[in-house]
Amino acid sequence: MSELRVEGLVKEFQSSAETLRILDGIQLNLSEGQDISIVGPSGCGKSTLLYILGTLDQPTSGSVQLNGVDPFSLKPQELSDFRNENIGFVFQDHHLLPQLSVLENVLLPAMAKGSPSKEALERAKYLIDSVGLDARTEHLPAALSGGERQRVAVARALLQHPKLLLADEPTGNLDAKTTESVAELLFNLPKQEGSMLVVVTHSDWLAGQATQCLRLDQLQTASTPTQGA
Amino acid sequence: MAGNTAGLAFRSLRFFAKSHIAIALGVAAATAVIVGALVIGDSMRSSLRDLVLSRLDNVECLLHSRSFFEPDLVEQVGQTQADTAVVPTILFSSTSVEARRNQTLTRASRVQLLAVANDFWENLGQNPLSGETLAEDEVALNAALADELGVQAGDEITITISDPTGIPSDNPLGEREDKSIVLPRQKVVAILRDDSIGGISFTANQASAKNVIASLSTVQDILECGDQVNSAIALHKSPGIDTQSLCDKLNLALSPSIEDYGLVFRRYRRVFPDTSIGEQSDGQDPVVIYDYFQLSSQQLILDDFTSEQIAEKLPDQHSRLITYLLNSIAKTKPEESDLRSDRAAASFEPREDLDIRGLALQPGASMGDSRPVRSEAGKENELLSRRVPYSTVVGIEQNSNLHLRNFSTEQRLEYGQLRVPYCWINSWLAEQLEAEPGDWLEARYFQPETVEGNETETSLRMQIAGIVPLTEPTKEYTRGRPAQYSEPPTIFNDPNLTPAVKGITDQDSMFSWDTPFELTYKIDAKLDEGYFKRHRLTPKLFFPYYHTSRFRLFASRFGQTTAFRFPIDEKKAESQEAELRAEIEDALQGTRAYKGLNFIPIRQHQLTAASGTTPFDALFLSLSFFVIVAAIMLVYLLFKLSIQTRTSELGILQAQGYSPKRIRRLLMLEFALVSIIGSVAGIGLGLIYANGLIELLQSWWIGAISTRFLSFHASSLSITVGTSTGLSMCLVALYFGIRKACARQPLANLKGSSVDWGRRNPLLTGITLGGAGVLGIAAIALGFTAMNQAGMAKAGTFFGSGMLLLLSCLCLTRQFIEPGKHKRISGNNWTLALRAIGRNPNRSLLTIGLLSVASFLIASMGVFQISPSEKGYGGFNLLAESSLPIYRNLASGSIRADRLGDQAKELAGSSIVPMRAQFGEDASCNNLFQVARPTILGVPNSLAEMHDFAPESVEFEWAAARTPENPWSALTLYGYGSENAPIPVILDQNTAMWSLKQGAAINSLIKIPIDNEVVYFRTVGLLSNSVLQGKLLISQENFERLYPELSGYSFFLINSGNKEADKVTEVLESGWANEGLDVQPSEEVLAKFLGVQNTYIMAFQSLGALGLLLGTFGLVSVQLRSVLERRREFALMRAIGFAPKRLSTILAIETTLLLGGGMLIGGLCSLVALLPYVWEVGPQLNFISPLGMLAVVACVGMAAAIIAISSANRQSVLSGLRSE
Repeated sequence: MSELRVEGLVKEFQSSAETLRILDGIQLNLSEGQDISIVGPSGCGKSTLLYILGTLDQPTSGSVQLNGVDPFSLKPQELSDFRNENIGFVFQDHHLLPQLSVLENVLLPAMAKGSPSKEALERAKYLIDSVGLDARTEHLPAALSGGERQRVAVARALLQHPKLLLADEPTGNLDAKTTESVAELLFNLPKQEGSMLVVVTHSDWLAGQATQCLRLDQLQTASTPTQGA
Repeated sequence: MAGNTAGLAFRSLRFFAKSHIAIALGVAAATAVIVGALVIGDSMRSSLRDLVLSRLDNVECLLHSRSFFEPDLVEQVGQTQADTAVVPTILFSSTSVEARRNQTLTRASRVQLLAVANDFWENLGQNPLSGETLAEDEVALNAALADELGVQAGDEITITISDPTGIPSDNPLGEREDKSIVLPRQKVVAILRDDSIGGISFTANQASAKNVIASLSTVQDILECGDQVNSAIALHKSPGIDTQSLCDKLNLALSPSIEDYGLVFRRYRRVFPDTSIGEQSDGQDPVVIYDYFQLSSQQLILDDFTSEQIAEKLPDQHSRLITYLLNSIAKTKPEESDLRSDRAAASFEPREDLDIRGLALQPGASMGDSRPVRSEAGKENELLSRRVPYSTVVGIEQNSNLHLRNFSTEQRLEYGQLRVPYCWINSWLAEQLEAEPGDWLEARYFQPETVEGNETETSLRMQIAGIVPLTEPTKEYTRGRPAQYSEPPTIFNDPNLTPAVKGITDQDSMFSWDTPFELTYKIDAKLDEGYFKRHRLTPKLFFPYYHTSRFRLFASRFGQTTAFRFPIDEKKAESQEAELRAEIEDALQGTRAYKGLNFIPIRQHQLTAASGTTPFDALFLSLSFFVIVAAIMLVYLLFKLSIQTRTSELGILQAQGYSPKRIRRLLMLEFALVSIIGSVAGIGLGLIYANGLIELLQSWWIGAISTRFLSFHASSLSITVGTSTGLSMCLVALYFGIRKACARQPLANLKGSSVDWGRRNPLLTGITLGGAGVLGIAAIALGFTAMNQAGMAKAGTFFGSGMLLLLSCLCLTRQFIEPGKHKRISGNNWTLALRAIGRNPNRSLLTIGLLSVASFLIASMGVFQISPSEKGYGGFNLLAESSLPIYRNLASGSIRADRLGDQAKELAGSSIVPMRAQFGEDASCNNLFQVARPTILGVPNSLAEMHDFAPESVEFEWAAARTPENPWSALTLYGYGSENAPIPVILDQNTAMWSLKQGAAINSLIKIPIDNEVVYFRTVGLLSNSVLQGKLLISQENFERLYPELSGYSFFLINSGNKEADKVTEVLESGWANEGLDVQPSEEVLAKFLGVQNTYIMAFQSLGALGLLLGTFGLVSVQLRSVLERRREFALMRAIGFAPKRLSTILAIETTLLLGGGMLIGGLCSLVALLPYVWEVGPQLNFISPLGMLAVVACVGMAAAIIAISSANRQSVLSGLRSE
């Protein structure tokens, strides 16, 4: 049973003049299959929270535990492995490698420790099929539209059966119609996979697709998401 | 606000300053290399010029005569020119010097001796003796000689010179055994710097001459030449004079007398009775027996050129004589061949197709069968009398007052019945032989030229045409007092018909004769000695001159006239002498250049040679071409990297309505400014680069210039040309880059991506693959062509083949790294790295191409490194030169035994090929000066015979030959030296190609100025990488025609055979120490020659490595740029679990693929292409140097990877994802 537990998370940035507290006592708990969208004005710290959850950034204080593991206590190599096995990312920019094909881009997380296994290959194909790009498997990113690229990014994020899927403005660069199709994938596929999903967005429409939608400041009041809307 | 183009350009210039710095540095590198190469050329020319000026000081002109002359001749000339002093000197260009210091004997050969008086030092611009002069028995040495001898001031040296006077040594009467004169115990009072007058040299070479400067009076004393000198030096007090003009004026003022040409002009008069010698007059008036002027030579024979001039300018006034020493005369029986009808005197008419020397003027003209029968000694004919030993014979021209026909006894023998050659004998000989007209005589004599120093006796049968009268004196000659007569002597009682020969005509007895050969014929103490006492060497036998002329009976290369006789008109004898003298002197004017009686503008010659030297600027430009190419490619690469960061800016400008032209102008202005800044910086770098190259040439690459003399000189012209060339080339590269950038669609630019996201045009793919195929096939075809070539041409063709193969490989590489090319899915690091390289295939290809071409050049150049091989010296493992000619044949066992005694056995089994030598300027690649008068060697036929009779022996390596079956045999063709009849010559291909810059193909002509005339040679053989580099090799026969005055041998090819080379060297050097024989291992000499070529290759490789280094900097830039472009990807990869270490590994592999791929492609192509050459020719390759260079480059490349990796790792994941 997957579980994300965040307690009293604080993130401060030290500038030359003052200390800027971006996150102040974030409380967040998620269980397997749950999703949440976090909204808020630009610069409020949404992405910072997301990156800390993704272990790409470190909190100033507070704790983050995923399945009972505090990732920040891990050594760098262990942290890389942890991230590879437990966390998936979808960014506003798809961050596809232009030199790799669609299939290879999806397989990229499996390549982090060497050549991908046969299972990984099968799963990549399944995911590509799931995102509706089975005809584009061998194509380079250059040959894809923006929406297609983002779908590839979603498939890539799900390859390793992540416990936690983090999406940062995943439809920020997409038009409305494409946003809809990407959102459908983003909210359905993780659920089918049993992954927890945290989406950070400006888009009220996208935020509304999540089971629970909170502003960032609401998380700072130790709110705990509940099942259902 | 900066709305105009310039304003925008300036703003961009400032904003993108950091990336511009890289481009400016690239431009600076290209400019620096060009400026540096041109400055090297400046430095070379200026240093050589400085060398000439410092060595010559204020010496302007040199006169170096073949004979000695009175100093008045030149002293008076000097007084005619303002600020000019002409000082008489004695100059020997080749002497031998030895010194003993601490019981150790050291020798130096080929030392130049200059004997000067005080006036030389007084008139020098800078007297290195600090105002002092040399006293008797004091000498000054230059540092080069002092170093070789290991002597210091205060030590004593001994100088050995060759006696310049007397009869040529190759004449049987010439001295061959001991012709050396020794100046012992000369105290060294000063060691002069080589770059001062101490290094004075009359042939241009940057290597210092070995000089000894001695006191003039000391040398004159030892030579016993009175005040006479053989040379003069013109010094000018103020600099900047036109040397040629000064020379012309001096030559105009110079008026040599007959004696200055080494000739003797005397009146010979005999009256009877001559009371001055004690003859009784008995009241009768003296009657003139003979009275004439005679022109003869101090060297026994007048050379043909002088004879021709006299004969031509004074026609009908003279009669020619040739006098020769016969070993024996005896009466004999004629042979059948003597009596043939075609030898009848009547059929003997003068022939017009023979020149004065009896040489055929027309091809096919022959001497005919009327040639007198001469046979080698040893064939005994039946003799009818005793042998009368050691008599002189004289050939008399028919317009002489000695009218032989008057003494023909035609009542007994008609003219028509005579057989040629016929002769007259004097009455004393007729009595001795009991001979009458019609009888036959056999004369034995040495051939007029020795063969390798050995006299060859030959015999001649002739018929007596008449008997001339000889009066017997009443008193013999005694100590210089002539014989006295009671009866009138006849015209044939003239001992002056025989020229003076030291050791013979000055002796009172035949038994006191000092001859170079053994007197083997019996001298009758009463009869023969009696004749000598009464008549000295008055000729006993007489020929018509045209007999001797036609049959060249006693003629040789030294000439065929011993004297010109001019009859005297009694009435105006006094005035006639002056008139005749003036006429002869006028006739001799034409021989001045030949005799060396002209001033030569030595300073101008050497300055011309310095300026016309090997074009080092062009050489270093070509050696540095890869650095230049690499720098320009780097500029292009850096520009592309720079512009790729600004594609969106270009897109915005395009979107705003800027025309492509205006954008191009904007960018061109911006990057032109960057380039100008770079090229200005390049000037400084270029000067540093040139300085660095000079240091290298003075140290590691010293083999290329032989000696340290180079100093830094930079002309503003070179800097301007170099800067503008570098700038222009970079601007052209930038222009094409800018054109390409501006050609992109606005949308593509707006998207801002530098990556070619799309698939490649199939047409381009086809062209690439097709190109690879065509180039590959061309490479193979060229490789096959090379199989039929030889030497360097073969290596060169293989090189070209390898280059084509390389280009083919690069085409394939381009296809291989094409993005999306590889379908196989693999997560291993190598695959990911390979895919990363494919992100920007053109950029990657440029990097690989740069590295592979450089690697190819460095690796393949090793093939051109040459090591000495036996073929380079034709199996002659030793090479010798002597300071003084050696007249005897070193190859002869008896000669060795005479000289060496028991030690001669150490030379048994060795073979020696002696060559005549006219040493000139060194035309090998060791000499940087332009060579006009190279050393010429006379090759004996024995070398060609050796080839024929010992084909198993090692042959020289030939680049080309007219007669490949025996290349030496082509030398034997007759050559007169004219354009129509050039002299066949063999020379080293490198000498022809680089030093002489002529004659580098079979049958091509070479023009060499000799004695103010151009002599033509035709190439019949080209040696390849031989020890004979720098020399022109002609047949000995042609050499003797060209330099008839030279006797002896000075250059030797030696094969030590089964003896130890060191021992052979020791024995030869000690045996012929007086002649300054210097023996060297051929391999060492050859290695030195080849070292020059190898040094250039090393320089090319080193500069190639420098280019490779620039390529590596390109690689660093590419990798850093790549990291920058991919920062978000790296961040993502780290975000999804790629460990930093893994990313580092992938980046390292990318660098390895680019660097290693480039080096591997280059290396393999060079190996594949050149392997057949190496297999067949088998040069000993030096792998260490190129591998070392490649290793350095690999290290720098890996450093590039480390920089790129640390740059990638420095960036946090977050900032990467956010593209900060």
